Amino acid sequence: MTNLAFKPVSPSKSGSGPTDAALVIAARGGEAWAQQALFERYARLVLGLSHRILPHPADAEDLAQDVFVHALNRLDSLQNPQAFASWISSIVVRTASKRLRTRRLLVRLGLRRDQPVDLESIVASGAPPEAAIELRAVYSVLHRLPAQERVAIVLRRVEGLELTEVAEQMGLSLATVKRRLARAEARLLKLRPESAAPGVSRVMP
Amino acid sequence: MKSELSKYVALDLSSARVARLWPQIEPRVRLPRRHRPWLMRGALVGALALGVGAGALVVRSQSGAESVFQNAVLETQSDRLSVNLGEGSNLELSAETRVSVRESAAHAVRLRLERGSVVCDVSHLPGRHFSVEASGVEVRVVGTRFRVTQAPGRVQVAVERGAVEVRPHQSKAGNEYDSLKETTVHRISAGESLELPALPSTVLPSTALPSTPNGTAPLARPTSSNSVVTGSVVNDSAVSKSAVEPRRSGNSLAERTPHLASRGNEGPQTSGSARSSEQPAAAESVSTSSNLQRAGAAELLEIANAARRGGDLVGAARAYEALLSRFPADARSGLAAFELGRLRLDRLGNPRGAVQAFERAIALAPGAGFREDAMARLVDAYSALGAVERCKAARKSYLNSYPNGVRATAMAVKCGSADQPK
Repeated sequence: MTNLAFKPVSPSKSGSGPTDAALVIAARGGEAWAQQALFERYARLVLGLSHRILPHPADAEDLAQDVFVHALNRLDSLQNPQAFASWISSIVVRTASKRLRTRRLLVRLGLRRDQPVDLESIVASGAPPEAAIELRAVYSVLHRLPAQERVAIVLRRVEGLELTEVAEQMGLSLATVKRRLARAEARLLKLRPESAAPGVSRVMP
Repeated sequence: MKSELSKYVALDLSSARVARLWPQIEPRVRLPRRHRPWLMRGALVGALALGVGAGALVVRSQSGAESVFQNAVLETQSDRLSVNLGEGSNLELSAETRVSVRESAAHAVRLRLERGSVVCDVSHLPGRHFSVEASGVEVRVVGTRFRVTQAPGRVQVAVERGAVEVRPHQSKAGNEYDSLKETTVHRISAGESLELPALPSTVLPSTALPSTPNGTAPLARPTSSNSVVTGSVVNDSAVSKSAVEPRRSGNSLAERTPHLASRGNEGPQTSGSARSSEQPAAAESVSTSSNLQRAGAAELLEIANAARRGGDLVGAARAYEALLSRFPADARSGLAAFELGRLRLDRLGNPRGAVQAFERAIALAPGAGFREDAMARLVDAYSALGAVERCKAARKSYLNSYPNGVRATAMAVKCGSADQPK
């Protein structure tokens, strides 16, 4: 088979270039250029979300790589090719949850050390003071939360998703997400009172 | 309002870091084992290049070879797409367009326009068949540049250069594609356009188009540019007299059907009259046709979406209303109510009807993703009505449910003393 000429597609998600559906269809057909095009288009989204859930550079890169391998090898399971973005985001969330559960178990068994987040490096320069305070408060206690609570809090507080979106991304029911978040918020309040969500003086419903 | 904290997390998303990842990923990605009909085989050669920004795709295939787009679907959303098929032929898909490639080979290119608008700039090659089918209307190329547009209940064909032959199909009872008989063949030349009724989707074939014979007898030309074309054409396939009365014009589509006109390459757009109380003629074919009474919930939603894209807002509203009336318990009813509310408030000047629709949306889908939006728009609708107390109650309800909601800040200035009764 002759190698196909390939020009990198703009990573913009603004709609320029082929649609996600066209790329997914071509990638399903074994077109290597389309697989790479999907990577080019969503690498930053996946890496960014991976980093915000697993805020260690090496962990985030490992997660991002595994997510793309999983996604590109299982494109047939994507029912709506145009929904590639939300689909791969949910893969990030669920893969990260599994990793965190495994890691927490290893920590409990003494086979791995707990790894707090380097708070100095988590906040971008130029962040407003309120944002910096909240980010530090959330990330300072994340490593002490169970996996699902940790992921739910990041999706809700940092990513700003609605409850239904958190549930969809995590593959959980809305009721379960609410319980996880309520417990996570309660733990946050206990560990870092200043980590309470702004404008909310009560535990999440 | 959605949290913006994510943008304040320090990240290295440089090109260098991203570029390091792909070499680790690529070796672990498997090519599909099973044969795909559009994978090239044997001595086939195809080259594909992607243009940055312009959304251009180029496919070149050798004689006798299937191209990489065989059985593929080309679809645009807010963007446009230019596809070069090689040999000088080019497709330009407008926004919100979907084209399926039924066949793409050196001897034949057959496309199906499922929605939207496509401009085909096609070079005539001896022995090569090139056609576009849309809702039972086949446009066959004889060397030309032409536009085919799917509008609610109608298919429009406009020729800019060269000539095309248009074959509207008419179904027999039983809805088998083999029983579809070609009726009148219309030949349209440069500067002419033709509008034909579309077959209902229930009688459209689900299988690939059969081969059609090459060569047809040309149709006698109309005596005036505005005459209605009826008649028959004599060819080997014993075509019956057409029961279709298409409208032909030498003027542009935009001048004849402003409510359904395409503007340049933007595809079907609504004109300013869409915001008035005037009802476009095409609305009748969507809203009063038996389709609304026969269609299922999913089809009604499709009809509404297609009508809305085509600028037929009243038709879209009627389709949503039909869904709510006939399928009140369907999972899509909440969404239909929400979309109906938006149409009524934003485009049809009916805030009272919008209130009813939004209230229904909120009641029908309490956990839906659009609930916050529906509650916010309900406040807008009461505000537009000048119902201050009800507006304030709706605003309070929104803020109780979504204190940090997307519209929380904007709510503060709603329903105030500045709001004037309409």
